[in-house]
Amino acid sequence: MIKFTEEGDGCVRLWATGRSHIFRPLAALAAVVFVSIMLLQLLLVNVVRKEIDDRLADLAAQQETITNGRLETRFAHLRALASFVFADDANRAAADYIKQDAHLSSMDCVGATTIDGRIILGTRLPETAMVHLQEAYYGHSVAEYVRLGDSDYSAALLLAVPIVRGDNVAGVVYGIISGQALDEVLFSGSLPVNGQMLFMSEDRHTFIFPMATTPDDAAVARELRLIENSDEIDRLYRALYRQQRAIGRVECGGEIRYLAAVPSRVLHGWYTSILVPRSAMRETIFFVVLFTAGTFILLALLFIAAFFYVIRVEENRRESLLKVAYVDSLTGLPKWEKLRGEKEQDPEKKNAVLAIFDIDYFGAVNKIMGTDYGDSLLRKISIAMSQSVGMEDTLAKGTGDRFLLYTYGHTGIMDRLTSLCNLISETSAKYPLTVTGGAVNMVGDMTMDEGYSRAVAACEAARRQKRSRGISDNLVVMYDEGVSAEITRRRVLRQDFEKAFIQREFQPLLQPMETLAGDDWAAAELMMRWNHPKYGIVDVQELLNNPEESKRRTRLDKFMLDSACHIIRRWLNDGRRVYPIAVSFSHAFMVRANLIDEVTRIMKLYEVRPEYLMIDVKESAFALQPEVIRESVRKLSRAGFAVTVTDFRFDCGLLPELVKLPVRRLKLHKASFGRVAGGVMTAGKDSAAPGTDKSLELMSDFVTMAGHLGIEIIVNGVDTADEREALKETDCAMIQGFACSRPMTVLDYEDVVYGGDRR
Amino acid sequence: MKKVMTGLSLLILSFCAVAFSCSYYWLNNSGEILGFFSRRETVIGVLFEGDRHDGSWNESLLSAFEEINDKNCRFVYVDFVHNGDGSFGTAVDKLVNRDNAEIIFSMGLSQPADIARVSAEHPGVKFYTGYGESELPNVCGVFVRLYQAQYQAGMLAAAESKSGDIAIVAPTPRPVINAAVNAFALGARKIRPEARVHVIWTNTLYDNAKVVAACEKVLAACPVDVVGQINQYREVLDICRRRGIKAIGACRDLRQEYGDVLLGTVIWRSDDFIRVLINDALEGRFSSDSRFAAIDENMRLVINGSVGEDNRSRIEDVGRQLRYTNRDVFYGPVRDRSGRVRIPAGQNISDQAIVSRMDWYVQGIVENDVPKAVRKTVN
Repeated sequence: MIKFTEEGDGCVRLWATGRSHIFRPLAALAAVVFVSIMLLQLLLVNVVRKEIDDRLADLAAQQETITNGRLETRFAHLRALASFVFADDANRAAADYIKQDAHLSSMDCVGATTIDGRIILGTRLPETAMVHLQEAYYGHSVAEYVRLGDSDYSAALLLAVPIVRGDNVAGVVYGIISGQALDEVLFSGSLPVNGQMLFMSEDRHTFIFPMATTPDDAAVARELRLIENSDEIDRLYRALYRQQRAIGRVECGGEIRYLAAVPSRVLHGWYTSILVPRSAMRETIFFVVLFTAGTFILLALLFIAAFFYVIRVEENRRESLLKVAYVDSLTGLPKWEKLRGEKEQDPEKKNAVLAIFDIDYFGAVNKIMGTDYGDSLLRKISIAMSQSVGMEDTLAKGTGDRFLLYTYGHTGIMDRLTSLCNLISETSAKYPLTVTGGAVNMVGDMTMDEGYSRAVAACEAARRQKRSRGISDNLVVMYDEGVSAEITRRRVLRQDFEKAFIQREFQPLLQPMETLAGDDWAAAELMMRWNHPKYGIVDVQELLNNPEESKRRTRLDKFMLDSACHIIRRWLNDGRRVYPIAVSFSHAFMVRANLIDEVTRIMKLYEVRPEYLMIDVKESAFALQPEVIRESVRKLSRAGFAVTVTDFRFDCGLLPELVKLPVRRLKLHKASFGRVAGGVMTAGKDSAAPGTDKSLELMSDFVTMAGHLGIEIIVNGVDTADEREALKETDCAMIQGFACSRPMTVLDYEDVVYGGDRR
Repeated sequence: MKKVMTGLSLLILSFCAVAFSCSYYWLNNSGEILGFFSRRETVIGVLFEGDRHDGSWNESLLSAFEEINDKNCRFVYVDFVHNGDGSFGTAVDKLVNRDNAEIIFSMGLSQPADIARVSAEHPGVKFYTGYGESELPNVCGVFVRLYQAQYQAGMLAAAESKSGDIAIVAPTPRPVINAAVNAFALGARKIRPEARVHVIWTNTLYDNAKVVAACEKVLAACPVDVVGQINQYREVLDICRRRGIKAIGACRDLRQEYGDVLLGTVIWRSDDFIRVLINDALEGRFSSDSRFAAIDENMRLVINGSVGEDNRSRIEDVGRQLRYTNRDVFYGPVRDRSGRVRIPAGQNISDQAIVSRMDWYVQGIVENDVPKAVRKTVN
């Protein structure tokens, strides 16, 4: 998403405020996918790890079960022996039983002893083993690890059962398993295979290593001693806390091995432990790790590629948007924003001039000739201007039909600008164009924005000059102190506008209209003069002739209507004949949705009927929102008001609409009158061929045509008697101008109209 | 934008690297990850018959549990869990369901029937009970051979008695208690073959009024000048002090308070033993095979300084013999009161017989003090 922001230096910056419409979903998807994969991987790793642990523990548990079963078998045989061992020496049968029993015969040192320690069968145990028999004298079976010598493989397993006679214990039968027999009991069978090692270890608090019985086992034992009492082993067996098994990794003999330990059921306090080379588990582990990590990385790369693709798309979009933002698509000229950005830091700015060329009434070109023609005309103008400006000059396109020129050198600048205006005017062959221009010398530290606003002010000043002088030629005004003072004056007037109503600075003036024959008054136009305490008489219509002033304009319209009603009411109360008063409604007032409500409200307030009022609407008001204006005209007409279109020109676009619109009168624009009656005036002044001008005939025909439509014609700006006389050849209804009377105060008007003094 | 994307890419790659490393580490090193996260403290319930601060057996056990002070364990104590009235089952239910107890110690005299029923209802809970032998998979019988120290106490009582009439205060008759009474009598007869042992059956563990009444009755009727105890009561010691007779304490050493009365005390410092039991349960070595505590440094008769050196050394020699030889207190020949040979010469009685079938009394125990039911069957 792209947006413009106004910076402190007055520049407009383009910002990428978001990424793009797919960036956020992609980022969110990436987050979800990666978190999911992470969780999945954790779960998978845990499952695999548990599977490996289970396999290790199963190996240990399996061996523990085998060992346990073998020991239980030997216990059973010892108990059988104990059942017929006598306390005396008559144990021949028992000795035979030992010889014939494979399990007992495989044991070392099978024998029996009384509680007093007298051997009644077999051989005597070493003293180191005798101390382990004590619990057997209380009636319990004993399975204990004993060490018969100092070597690493001197481990042995002592099994003992009590000789029970009723509730009493008469002695103990015992057997020692060591060497190869112990290997067979503890380790034979499934282990060791594939480099696996099995050993028995006592609880983690003492950790006696291992129950080795052969030199090979002793070698293992020596290796294992390397980790004896180490932190690794301690950590490993701490894992048994709350668990039935311990699984871990130990470094043994320079090799990493997995170790699993399960408690032994027969040898209390002992664990059956198994060491498995890492290679046995390696394939599975690495497959899982590589698979998950590979998938992970592949997805990561895909996402990164997708992100960079998004970047690329985003940059393309940004470039296209920049182009849209900085280049005018119609003319190909840079826009004001670009001109401003480029020239803001121009070191030669103090020698530069910024000029604005505004084509007058270009909207009419689009309406009359079509927008395609208007667009092509703008393109032609831009080409022509581009070819005319110098290499160092910069031509830019402003809003609408406005062109900007940034050029250097103050000497002869006005001539150059005027020639450019003329060039623009000459570009259009079908439609006459006039140009209003404004320029400013970029002196001092003036910023581009300041320069632009001053150029616009100069352009507005030129437009005002053209309006006030009634000229329609090209005009360029250079921003100077006068323009600056005018800007200040307008600002003050705008500030004082509302206060002027309170302080009664607005003075209503009435300019009478009379019949063409001059035998009677016909009506009067209400005008409003602002007597400003500082600036004197202010042309309030000119002041508010700006779309931005619609609010004040509406305020003034309502005030004028109120004033007109007030005057009429007073006349009615005085029993005077009331000549209608024409009140001008601006475009801003005409487009208000509650126009009729507000007008009727004021009328009712003064109890004034609509026929006493004439509502004037300027022809130019129909240029903007024409449908709304027409609808308002119809509403006013239905309400009984006589609507007059003022400043009417023959060449305006409203002419075909007159058939449909309920317009009562047309007030011809002074320029139109001048153009039509120019010959008359010339004739009047020069006394040459009076009444022969074809334009007068055209006007007469127009009045006749309007008469057929039921529209009366009012000619405004009839300032001389000659003009009055010339117009008598037409059938226009009323005339207005200095030839009748100047605008006057209400009191003067009453003196003139009701006092019997016609002039 | 590019910076953001580059950072994001690096973040993703870092994430990959971390995930890869973690996976590799977990696969190669640690055990069950989820097991690690689920680790928590273990709740151990301890049931007492009577008040845990009874100055005797209960208090001795309590001090042992408090001594353990394992940060991974939390002990929950329940007092006054009686036999046969349903309170045992209720207490265990609360411990298991409310406190999530995983190990329960009931080292008193709970009935085997209660243990069987409750352990079946809670197969995941490991029980350590004072009943000696168990066939139940989650019940381990703990047999404390306190009778060996009582044998020494009997010797001390007989040695210090002038009249030859000595007494022992015992709770309800049952095999383990009978073993202690018999051991006391055997010890006394070893010193003085003519000694008469009066048994003061209190038929209670925590009703002090009954204890006092039973004690007063026997002492008033018999010329007893030394009183032994299986369960120690301060009231008994007060009576002895009042009557000017000597006493032998049990379980808790109260020589600070009753130094003028006590000749010695049978003590058992059980914290090491209980710690082993707890570790066995936590580290996968729990089994239903009975566990034993025999006379050693932690279980012995502590003799007061007022006892003569000859008697002291003689008694301590017997303690060493019991500890280091295979002959038990009940080493034959041992006859019951009727003269029948219960343990032939050269034999020990088995632990199983002691904890479950010792319903007879040795010679030297006064007939009137033998419970009537026993009198009928044995005599």
